[in-house]
Amino acid sequence: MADSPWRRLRGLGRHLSGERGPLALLALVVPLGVGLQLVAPEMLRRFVDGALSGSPDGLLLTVAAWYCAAALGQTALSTGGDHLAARLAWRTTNRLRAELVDHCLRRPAPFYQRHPPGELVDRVDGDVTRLAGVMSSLLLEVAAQALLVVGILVALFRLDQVLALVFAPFTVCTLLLLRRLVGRAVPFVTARQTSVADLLGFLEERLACAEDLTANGAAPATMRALEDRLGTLYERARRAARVSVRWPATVQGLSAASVVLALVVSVWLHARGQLTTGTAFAALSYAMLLRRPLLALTARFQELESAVVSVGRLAELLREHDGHPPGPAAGGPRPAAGPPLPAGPLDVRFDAVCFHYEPGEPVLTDVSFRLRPGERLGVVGRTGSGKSTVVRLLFGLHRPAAGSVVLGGREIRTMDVRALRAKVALITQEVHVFHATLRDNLAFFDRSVDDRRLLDALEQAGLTGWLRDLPDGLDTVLGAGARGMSAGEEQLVALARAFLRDPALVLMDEPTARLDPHTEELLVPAMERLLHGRTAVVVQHRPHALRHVDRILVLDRGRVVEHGERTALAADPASRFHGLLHTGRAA
Amino acid sequence: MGATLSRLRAVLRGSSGAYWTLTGLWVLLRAGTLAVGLLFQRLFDGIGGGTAAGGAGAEGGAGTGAGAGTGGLIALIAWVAAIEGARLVLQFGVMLSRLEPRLQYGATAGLRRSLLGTALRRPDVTARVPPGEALRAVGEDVEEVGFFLAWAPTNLAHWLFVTASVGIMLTVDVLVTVALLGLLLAVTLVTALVHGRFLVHRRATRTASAHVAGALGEAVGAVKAVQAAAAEDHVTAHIGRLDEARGRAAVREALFAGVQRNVIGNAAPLGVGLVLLLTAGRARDSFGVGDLALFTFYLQILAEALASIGILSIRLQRVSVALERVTAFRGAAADTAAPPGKPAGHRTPPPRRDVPRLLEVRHLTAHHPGTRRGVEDAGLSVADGTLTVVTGGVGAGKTTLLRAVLGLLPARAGGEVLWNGEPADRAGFLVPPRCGYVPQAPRLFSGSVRENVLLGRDDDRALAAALRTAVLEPDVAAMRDGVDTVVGPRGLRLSGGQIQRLAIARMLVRRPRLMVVDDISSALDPETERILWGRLLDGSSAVLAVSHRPAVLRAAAQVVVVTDGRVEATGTLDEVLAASAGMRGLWATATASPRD
Repeated sequence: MADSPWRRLRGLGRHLSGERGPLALLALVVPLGVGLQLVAPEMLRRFVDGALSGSPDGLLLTVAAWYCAAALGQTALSTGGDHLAARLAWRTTNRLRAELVDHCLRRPAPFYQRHPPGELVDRVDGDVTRLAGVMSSLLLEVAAQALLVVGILVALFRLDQVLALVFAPFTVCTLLLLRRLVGRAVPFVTARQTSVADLLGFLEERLACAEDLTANGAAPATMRALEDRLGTLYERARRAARVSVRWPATVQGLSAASVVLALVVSVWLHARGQLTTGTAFAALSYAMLLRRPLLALTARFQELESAVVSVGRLAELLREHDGHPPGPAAGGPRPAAGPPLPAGPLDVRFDAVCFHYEPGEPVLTDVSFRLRPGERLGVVGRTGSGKSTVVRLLFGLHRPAAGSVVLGGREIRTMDVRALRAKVALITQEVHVFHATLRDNLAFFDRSVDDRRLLDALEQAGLTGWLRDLPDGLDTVLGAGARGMSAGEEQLVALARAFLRDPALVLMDEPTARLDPHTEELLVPAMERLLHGRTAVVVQHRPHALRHVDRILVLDRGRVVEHGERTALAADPASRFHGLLHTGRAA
Repeated sequence: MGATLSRLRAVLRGSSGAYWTLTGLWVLLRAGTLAVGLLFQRLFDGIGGGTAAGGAGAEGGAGTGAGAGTGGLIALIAWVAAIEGARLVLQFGVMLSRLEPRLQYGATAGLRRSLLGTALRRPDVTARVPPGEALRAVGEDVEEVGFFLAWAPTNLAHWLFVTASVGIMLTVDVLVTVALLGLLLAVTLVTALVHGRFLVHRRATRTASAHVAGALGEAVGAVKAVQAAAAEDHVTAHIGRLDEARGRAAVREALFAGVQRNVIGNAAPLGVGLVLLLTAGRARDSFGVGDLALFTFYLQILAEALASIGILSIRLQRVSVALERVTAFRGAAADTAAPPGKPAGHRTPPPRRDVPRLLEVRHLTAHHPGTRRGVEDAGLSVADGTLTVVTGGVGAGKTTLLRAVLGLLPARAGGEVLWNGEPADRAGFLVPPRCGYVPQAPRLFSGSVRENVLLGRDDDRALAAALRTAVLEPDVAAMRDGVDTVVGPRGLRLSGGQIQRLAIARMLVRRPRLMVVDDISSALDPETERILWGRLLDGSSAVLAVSHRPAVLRAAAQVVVVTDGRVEATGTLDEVLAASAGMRGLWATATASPRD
């Protein structure tokens, strides 16, 4: 148990590779600084003994001058060392952060149900930043102070062997005792930090839906829930504080004991005439100097303890590889890279596909259909009929329980999800506009996309006029806290994103659900342009919006109940599609 | 500075007892430190053989005189031990383990309470704060304040220690003390100069940090979109770029902080060097070993005190930045908090009708914060138990109108909102049981269906009834844990239609007399929508709705047509169709059958 924190921290070493130069420089600067600290008490001894024995003033002045030089040198060295360590720490933790971000962004939905965004931000940013602080002190202070402790013992041995004989076991006992205390506070600190993360997650979500809560008169209940969390946090913080002070209290007590010990031994030896006053002075100086590394180690240790907790939480996060959707999505063993998909529109085939989220609750049962390249299918049905699942299967978000989903002649489960998504665009009712420039919003932060392509995509989406009104063109910052956009404009941006990717298959899952009929009309030309010449599957609960598809698939409770040419079905008064069209108009 | 202090005082309200106890105890500890210095002086005077007696051959003399002296010296050491023991008990048994957490967490709890309270009172204003900044205000900034308050009590003790120790040192040697004060002053000046640069870089780091946190929060919040665009690499690279910028800023900040810290930290050794230089010529007569011991010891604590005082300015700066942002978050609401539309004396009394309408809105003007978009001089009324439909083109101001009526958006002075003839234009008035609201894009929080619908109530019968009415019963029945199913962060696991129906259930469970619904039907299939409207319009509550559905418009007792932020026409469907060309256009689109 005692060594597990160290083992956890060791994992960080991997991120240090490639930093040999700065590390070597640090290895030079740190011992030098320690040496300068060690010679100071020795100077004091010479000065005191020299003064008391009547040495010439010149000699005393020389000693004093050397003492000053050592102090100045120490200032310069510690500043340089700090800077080196800080740079190293930030570079290293940035690498760790990048790894975490990458890891998180590749996790499937269940991961995000376990970890609300506020918690993830606290872990990936808060925990790692805490680590950055500890890294610099770990690299510098812990090493330097450990070296200093050893140095002090050696110096004491040189001063007087009796002093060294008293201090060596004392220091060893101290270190043993302190080592036993290491990590005692970890579970309490963990509990506190879990509580903090929970509180922050709570606050983030409640702030995000403040309007809903207020308008529904839920403010008092929300405040009560906050009170509960604050109470828990306080309880845990108090417990953590009580346990955490044990370590620094021990260090302080032991260092006070070492000073008293030094004084008693000095007085005793001096009374026997075995020790000069200067040596007694130097012994006290060393004993006090010993207090500094122990205290510094202590201070660092508290940070270290919380950092160990952070590392533990981060390791936990990185270990979370479970909950993959079955199939090629997100990580897992890479499927063999088969032949690349052919260029141009692709054909789509569902062969007796069955799917369920929970065993015994089928979502799709025995669904089959075929689309030729460039053919467009509309899927309709009641809420919960499994419409969206058809799209999700084609997008590689799930793997069918039985049957096969085939795109361009290749079964989707055998494809690399990224290769798949390079060919397929999904448009849903939810459009996320990032707090970033229009350029980054369109290209999803891909800096290699040139402006001509961006402008082209905007034109295809019918956003040229809108772009002209933007103050900074492509560099206009959009999203929360910046320029507001209407739901229609957001959806057009989503279409522009799709145009930019020039997909071979377009999937639409109720793209106009959030829009009023008028805005929906405005979107139609751009949507038609996007569907033109591409294979497409469009899910709509309002069947009359499906005027630009060739075929219709009607689903009911996960089964195909009707499938055919749209025009033929619409004209047939006995068809389900015809019926749906008419309820749609009546509503 | 003054503003920071008064803000801190406000934060402290309620825990000032703990604060002052802690301050008192720190003073006591520092008094103990002063005493230890004096004990060291006497101890080394004893060892060295006294100040003036330290002439030639003093070593032998001290040795012979030590027989009687040793007992006295051991007594002095015993005093040192006693003081240190008492300090340990106080500092770790009481101050760090009990008083500090009480102060720190008391303060952070108070601030978080007030921030969330503000957000709930004025959601419109706080909604304008970018998500990263809001999270930082309730997180990092609040923690900074709490940390500062737990640490601040050490300062008075430090100042007292500086004064007393300098006084004692002056009685020993004026020249050396003055020289040391000069050195410490120089150190303070250097650090003050560096400090300015440090603060510049600190702000830069803060801004860069907010960018990282914001981008990260957005990326994980919108992870579905990122994954759908197969843009994981690009987003990671984007966050990486922000991270690097923050790292560079942080390293610069650390450099200046380091210079400051190291100059202060090495002030003590430099001071000792100065003492040695100045006393090298006269160490035998006026400046004894005991004095050197006293100066060496005090210099160390002085440097610590100085460091702490130096940190005071850093911490004060940090905490004022943090408090500024916390206050800005709250203040944004406070600035506009004057109840809009209530100039006390100028109110025109509502013209009395025989029966006041349930809701009456006149001359209402409200804009989206920071824009010119909104509604101008709008008026409408809703009779009890009837349906009023607000309709209009895109961006006409329909949602703005509803939100302004509900007090979720600050209205300009001069308009009025009356509930049963009673002024109602203040936030928090048009809430259940008077009013319920389903926004266009309802938001859920991570929690069970039950929690998201009941929002803190405890009424399972009402829950079941509301779910049934909102046509959500079959959906919930299909969920594994029924009403206790946790709908993921922000309701990620539910479809758009389910979220909307859940929000309707949330409104229904409170049985409001007026239901305000903003385009609830957009994510529902026609059949579900038909059932839902039938249930909402059973006459038990009045309904004020934004909708374009022909069926809903036909059922409305009154239609309000909004065009470019103004009410263009009000009346029955036939009346508004006759009066407004825009309405005729909208009606044509809405009723158009699928073109073939």
